Amino acid sequence: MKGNVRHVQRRSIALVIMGALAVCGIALTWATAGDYLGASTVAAKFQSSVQGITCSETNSEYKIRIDVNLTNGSEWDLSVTSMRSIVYLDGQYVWGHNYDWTGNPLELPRGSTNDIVLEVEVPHTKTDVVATGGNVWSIRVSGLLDMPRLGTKLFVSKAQVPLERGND
Amino acid sequence: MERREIVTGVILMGIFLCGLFTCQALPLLAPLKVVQEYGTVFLFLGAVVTGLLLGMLTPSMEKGVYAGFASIVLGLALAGLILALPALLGIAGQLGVVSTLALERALILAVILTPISAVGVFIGNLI
Repeated sequence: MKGNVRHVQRRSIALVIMGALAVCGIALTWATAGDYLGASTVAAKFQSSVQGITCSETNSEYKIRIDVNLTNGSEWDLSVTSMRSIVYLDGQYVWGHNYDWTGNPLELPRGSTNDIVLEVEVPHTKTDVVATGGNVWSIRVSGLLDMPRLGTKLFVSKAQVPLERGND
Repeated sequence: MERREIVTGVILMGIFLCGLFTCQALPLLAPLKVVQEYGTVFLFLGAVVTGLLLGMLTPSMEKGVYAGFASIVLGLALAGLILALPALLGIAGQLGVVSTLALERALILAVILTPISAVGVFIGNLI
């Protein structure tokens, strides 16, 4: 009888502690989820897009210029620390290039738009591919966005754009 | 009566673990600095406490271990729902705020936490 009462008492204590911990869990989840939704809204207002591509030829050396538009529609100041562009022609990899701005990040203040040009110099081994290829190119531009409280996040934009050929 | 208490306990501890799983997956967004820095440690302690309290609810070791596992699974499922909230609310953009690495880490932790909660159940049975 005494043991049974003790057992019931023990279960009641356990349930009370569990209830208190569940309240702490709800508070923790509520605060974190609130910040998470805020950060997700900021992330959703950042857009990157490939606007166009230009290829110029100088002494049989090709240089590809990719016009990229970065828009920060959020209320946070963001910055891009690095980017990478990859160029494909007729589904075949042509070349890629890394742009590292870790020392001097590309600032994107709140509500700003920034148009940048990424240059890719095609090596000699690929000049034939560019010279004989078609005019519809696939571009993949990725980058690392530095967000306050979230650290660096990867963004990727792909586009199939008609090429404008020119001679320098 | 005992079964109802165990189910209540599983739900309450699942909610508690959900908070810890969420903070562990999003450490930089956690409200307390101590949770930001020691999120995984808190999760391990949370698993021990979960097992201990469930062990206090039932004298059966087997039932306690199953209840501990159910709490961890419930906590993980609720945390997954929280992490999927932006996509569910239609505010997901070009950026992935949660890395797949964080999700994989949470799943691995859930597997590791089950035997840890079993240790808590054992201690809870002794009390």
